[in-house]
Amino acid sequence: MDEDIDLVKKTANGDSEAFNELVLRHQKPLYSLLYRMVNNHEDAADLLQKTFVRAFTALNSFEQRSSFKTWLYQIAINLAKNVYRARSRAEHVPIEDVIISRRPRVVESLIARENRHQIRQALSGLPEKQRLTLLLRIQEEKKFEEIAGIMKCSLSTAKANYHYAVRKLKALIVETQPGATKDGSPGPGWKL
Amino acid sequence: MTCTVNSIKQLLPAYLHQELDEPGIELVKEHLASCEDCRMELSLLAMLSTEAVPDPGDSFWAEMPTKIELEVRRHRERKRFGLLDLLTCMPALRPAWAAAAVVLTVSALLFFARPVTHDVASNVNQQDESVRWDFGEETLNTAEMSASEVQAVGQWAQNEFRRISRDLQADGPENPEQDISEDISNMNLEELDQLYELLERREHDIREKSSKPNLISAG
Repeated sequence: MDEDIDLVKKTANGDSEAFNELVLRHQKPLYSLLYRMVNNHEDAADLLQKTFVRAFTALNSFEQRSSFKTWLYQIAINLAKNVYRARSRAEHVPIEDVIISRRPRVVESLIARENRHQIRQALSGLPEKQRLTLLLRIQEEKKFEEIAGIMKCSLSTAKANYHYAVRKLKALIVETQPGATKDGSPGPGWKL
Repeated sequence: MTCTVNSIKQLLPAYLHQELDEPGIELVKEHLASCEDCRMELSLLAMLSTEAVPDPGDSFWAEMPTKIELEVRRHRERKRFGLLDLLTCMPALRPAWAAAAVVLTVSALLFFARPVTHDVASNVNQQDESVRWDFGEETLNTAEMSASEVQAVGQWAQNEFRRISRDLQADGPENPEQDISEDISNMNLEELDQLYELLERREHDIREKSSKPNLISAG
């Protein structure tokens, strides 16, 4: 983190090597986050570039309250939200519809590669904050403290968002299982 | 049955990412052995976490800093020349800007080069039909002029034209009969010598001119 701050200061003074170092250091995790948010390379690459451009043209507004990485994540998420929202307006599928329209499958088949797309669709039906929190915690391996910083919310809100996101996804899985019970417990097949 | 042991549920992501210490791992393992709901949840999280992101390739990563640097430079230049950019980056608006510029230029030219009218009617001297011309600040509204005023203006213009024509045709002193004896009496000797030479030269020229037609007719 301190190294980042040092590089940021050098970049602000026109040091192009420091600039390159910051990009090389953060581009992969940022791309990963953006790709998971928008689900395609073109948008993710474009957003990655926009994120860095926005950051480097507004370095003066970086107040060092959080780490540079967290600040980059905040910018990236805000930019990606616009793409995500525009797409959601065009092809929004409520999570209830996803559940109803899905024909029953065994859990193993859900885990299978060909059904990942359906899981992504289910994820896209989650409220934005819950989906982002789940993505950051599970796919980006961020700790709740970091998520709270990125999402600009309290630690308890971050945990609550994660909890509700997992619960809704599980509900989806349970609904699609042939052996699902009336009380909502999963049928056979969900094994680690 | 849905598990309500939230303390364990909150540890599942950390368990998945191997962030827990040994006692934490044992605690989760023990719970998983007896809780199908949490096993299912862990399976779901594992499935999400292994959702691979395709690697765009080494060249993509290597070129990114240069691309960003170029874009940052462009962004700063755009900011510096905001208005110019507005005009140049909107091709659809270029004809409109050009048309607006032409209209403004023509309007300015018409405004500054317009004929300025003056209230000449009030300056007409009806007795001698001459017009006293003052460049006053009031302008003439021709629409409000009576027939006599228009006639007076016409007369004034005619008189002015005659006077200017007479001045232009006259080649020499404005008044040839003017008494210049006083001026000559004020001249010193040198000036008088120069005047004498000038008069001699003029007289010589006049004589030569008057002799030339005779030569031609003689020839």
